[in-house]
Amino acid sequence: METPFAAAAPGQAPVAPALPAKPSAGRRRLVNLGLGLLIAGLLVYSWIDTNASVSEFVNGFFGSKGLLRNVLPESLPPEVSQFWDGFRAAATTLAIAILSIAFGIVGSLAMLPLAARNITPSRPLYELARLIQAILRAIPELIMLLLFNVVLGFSPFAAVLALTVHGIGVKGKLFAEAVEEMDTSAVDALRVAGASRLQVFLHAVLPGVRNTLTALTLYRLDANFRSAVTLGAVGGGGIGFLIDNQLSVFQFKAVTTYMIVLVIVVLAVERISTELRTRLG
Amino acid sequence: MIDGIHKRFGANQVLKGVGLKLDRGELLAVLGANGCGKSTLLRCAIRLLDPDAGSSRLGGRDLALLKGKELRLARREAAVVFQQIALVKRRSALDNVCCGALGRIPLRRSLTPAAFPHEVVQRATIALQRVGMLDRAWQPAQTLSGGQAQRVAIARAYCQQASVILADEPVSALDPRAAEEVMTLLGDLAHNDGLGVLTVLHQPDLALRHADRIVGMRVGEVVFDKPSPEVTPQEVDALYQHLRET
Repeated sequence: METPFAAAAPGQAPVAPALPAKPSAGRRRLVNLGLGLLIAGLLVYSWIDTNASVSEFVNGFFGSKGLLRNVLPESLPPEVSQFWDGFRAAATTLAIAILSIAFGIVGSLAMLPLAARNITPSRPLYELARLIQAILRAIPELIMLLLFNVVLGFSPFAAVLALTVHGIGVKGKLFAEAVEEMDTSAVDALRVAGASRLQVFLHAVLPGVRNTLTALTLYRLDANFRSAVTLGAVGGGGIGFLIDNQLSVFQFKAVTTYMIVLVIVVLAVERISTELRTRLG
Repeated sequence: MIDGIHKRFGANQVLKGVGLKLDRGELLAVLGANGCGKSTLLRCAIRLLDPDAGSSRLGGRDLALLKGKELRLARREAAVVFQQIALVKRRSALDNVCCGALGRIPLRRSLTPAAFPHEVVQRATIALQRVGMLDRAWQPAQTLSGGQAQRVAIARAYCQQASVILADEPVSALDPRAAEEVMTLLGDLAHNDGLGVLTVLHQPDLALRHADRIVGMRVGEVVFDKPSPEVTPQEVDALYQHLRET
C-alpha cells in the first residue's frame, strides 16, 4: 500500500515528490496593498484633524513652560499632609467602582437569559437584548455622567449610575458570549428532564459559567476603578475630583501626592483582581 | 415509537423515513458508521431537533404535535445520557443527580440545590447507590473519572423517573472496562427496572453482547432491525463497508 512516507529503496536517498502548484499570491498582494494604503490614509487624516505637531510636542515636554522644566519642579516634593485625604478620596472612588460592578452584575444577569443565542427563548428577544446592550455600550461613561449630573446633581452616586448603565452594556455582552461558548450538553440534559427555562438557567447555565463570569467581573473591577477616577474629575467625586480641584489652583505638590495614592491603589486593585482570577483558573 | 422520521441539513438528507419501536424492558442498540444519522435520530426522537416529517410517540403522545410546556412535560418520560459527560462540573454528584428530577419539582423548591425536596434527595441517593457511586455523592463532578461521571449521568436519568433512556454513544469516551460497566448498568435498568433503553453505539461487540435487539443504519436508513443473536458479522460489516471503500 502506498503511504505518504513511502520508504526509499535500501541504500538510496529518499526522493522528494513534486509539490502541487502554489496558489497565485496576486490577489492577496493586492488586498495587502489596499489595506496598507487605507491605514496610511487614516493615520494622515487623524494627524491633520487633531492638529498634531512635533514642535508642540517638544515644547509641551521640554519648553520653558513645558512639563519637565515648569510643572515637574513645582510638583516635587509631594505634599505629605495630603496623603490621608488622598486615600479617603480613593476609597470613595473604589466604592463607586464596587457598587457599579454589583449593580451591573444584577442588570447583566437579568438580561442574560435573553441575550445568549443558545438559551434565548426567541430570536427577536435576543436581537432586542443585544441591541439594548450595544446602545448602552455606545454611550461613553462620561456622557452618561453628564446626563445623570443634570438629573441628580454632582455626586458619587451619579458616577455609580453612569458606570452601572455603561457596564450593563459591556458585561452583558461578555457574559452572553461566555454562555454562548459554554458546553451545552448539561443544558440539553436538563431540558430533556423537563426542567423549565429558569431551572435550566439556575442549575446548568449559571454553574457552568460561574468561574468565567467571576473572572470577567474582576477584570471589569479594575477597569471600573480607572473609569471612576476619570468620572470624578467631572463631578463624580473621589480622587479624580480632588486631582481636578488641585490642578485648577496649580497645587502641583498635592496633585503629585494624589497621583502616588492613585498608582498605589490601582496597582493593588489590579494585583488582587489578577490573583483572584488566577486562583479561579 | 419513531415513525417515518425525515431530517435534512441543507442539501444533506440525514434521515430518510426512519422508524423503530422500543419496548419496555428492552435494550436496543443502534449501530452505524459516522454520519449515518444515529445521533440525529435520537435528537429528533425527543425533539431536541425538529424533524422535517414523521412522528415520535412517547408515553402515548406524539411529540411532534406538542409545544411549550406540554412538550417539556411530555419529554420528562425520556431521559438522555450524552456522549459528552453532560454534568455540571462544579456541582456535586448528588446535586447533579437531583437535577434529573427538576421537571417534577416546583420552581420555589428548586431555586438552589439546598431547596430540593427531601424525597428528591432520597431518590437521588437511591439512584447513586444503584450505579455504585454512593460513596462519591459529595464529590464535584469535575473530579470524577469518565466512567464514574457517566454512571452519575445514568443515575440522573434514573432519578428523572423516565420510562425510556436514550443514550447517545455513552461509552465512546470510556476505556473498555468502564464501557463494559456502563453497558451492564444500562442492561440492568432495562431488564430489572423495566425501562426501555435505546443506545447509539460504535462498538458492535458491545452491542452484540448486551443488547436484546440491534438496529443497523446506513446513510439515513434502517437496513436491519432484529434480535441480537440473529445479527450476522456480515450484516455488521456491511454497515461500515462504504468507510473502507473511501
